[in-house]
Amino acid sequence: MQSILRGGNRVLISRSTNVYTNLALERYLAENIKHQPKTRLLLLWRNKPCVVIGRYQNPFIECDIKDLGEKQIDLARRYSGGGTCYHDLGNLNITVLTTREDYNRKKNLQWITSTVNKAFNLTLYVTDRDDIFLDAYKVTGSASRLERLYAYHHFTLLINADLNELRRSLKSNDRRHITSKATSSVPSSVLNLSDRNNSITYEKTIELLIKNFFEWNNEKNTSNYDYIDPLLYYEQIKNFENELKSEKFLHQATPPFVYTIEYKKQKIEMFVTNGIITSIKGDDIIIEKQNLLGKLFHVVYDNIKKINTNSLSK
Amino acid sequence: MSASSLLLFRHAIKFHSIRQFHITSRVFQQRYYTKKHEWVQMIDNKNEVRIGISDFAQNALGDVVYCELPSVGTKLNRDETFATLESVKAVADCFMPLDGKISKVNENLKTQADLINKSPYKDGWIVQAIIEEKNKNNMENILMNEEKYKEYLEKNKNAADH
Repeated sequence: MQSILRGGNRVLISRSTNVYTNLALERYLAENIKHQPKTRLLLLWRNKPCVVIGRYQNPFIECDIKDLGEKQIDLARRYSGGGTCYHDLGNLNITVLTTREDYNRKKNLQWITSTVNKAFNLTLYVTDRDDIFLDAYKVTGSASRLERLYAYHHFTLLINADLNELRRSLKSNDRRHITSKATSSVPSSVLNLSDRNNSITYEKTIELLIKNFFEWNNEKNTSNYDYIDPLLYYEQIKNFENELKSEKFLHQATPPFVYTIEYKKQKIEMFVTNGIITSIKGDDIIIEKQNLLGKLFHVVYDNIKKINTNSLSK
Repeated sequence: MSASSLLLFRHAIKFHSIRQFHITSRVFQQRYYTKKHEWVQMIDNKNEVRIGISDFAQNALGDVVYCELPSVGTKLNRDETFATLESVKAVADCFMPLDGKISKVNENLKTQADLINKSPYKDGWIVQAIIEEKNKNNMENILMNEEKYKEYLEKNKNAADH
């Protein structure tokens, strides 16, 4: 059990495809591993279909929550910043975990692009937003978290994901109703690596990265990689996993916002802080009838949508 | 001078002195820095300090887009997180340079998070805290002054960029 937390240049591949488990595992490793300077831990993982929003984003802006629920696509908020992404088994997640001093996004991304370009004959390049592009298409988005003793940079790599589902899942009809200071996503056209070279698969990519990782780190011990079943560490990661799964974290960590609807040509503004409707400006009759004040926004969301729809049909 | 004009004169001087006191009452001392690039600065000669991040830190972070600030009254120890900043590059924690009790947060950061980038030492201050007398006198020993911080930055120039 203890050896999972040893430091040094290592690769871990998660056997789980549950986004909450994997995010919890990532955080558990980050907080508990004895990070050694000038070494890196590479964590490779992928998830069943899900949408992951950044730490300070607003899920109502980034996706259609009800729609995701109906399609059984998980929705998670991660601990790192950045924008929203769609994951499925064709999307590889890569985490580079180091001491805070050794944190360096550019180096990580340059390693990926040169490794993948060489092996698969592609022309990936790193942008100044720390994305990876192939021609005009985005294949990688980055996010990071910096703590006192450690830092991690994680990024995705579109290998052969369902891009249609990706586009459908990252749509929201609510954007125009919401005003906030939450971090906004910067949408891009996307592409799978396999669209340019159909011999590229998830398995091949993992193999390539594991092999190349040790070279990159001048590490002689090239067998320092393990497949890890997070279930075996359930006790250790369950607190993080429960937090990530909770409605509280998903909805109450959203930065303050104002949700505006129209009722009988009048504007009604709902002020939401920590997920709770703290004040409403507008038609008083509505406030009384619906009893929205003080309620959790995401719980009364359907009622709010009905008010808006009713006003439109009148 | 006549008695009444003397009285008026006295009043005028009093008034003038009070005004002067207000103008010069906020005296900011020199800044001290941590290895994690936070700065701390005494306000007046009381036990209150202002805390922010250095120009080096804001540059490494990139444009700050969101600040998560603590509640006033929170007691924190040295090295504990007092704020979390999201920039276009990362979510990063800021760590207390000293033990302290948060007395004020910079409300402007709620709508203008990038003040941290534009003015890291003035308008982009993050929190104010009440500290203990013993730590106040010890800042020179446990933290770096302006000169030492400059040296520290020089020495670590070749360290990992962000």
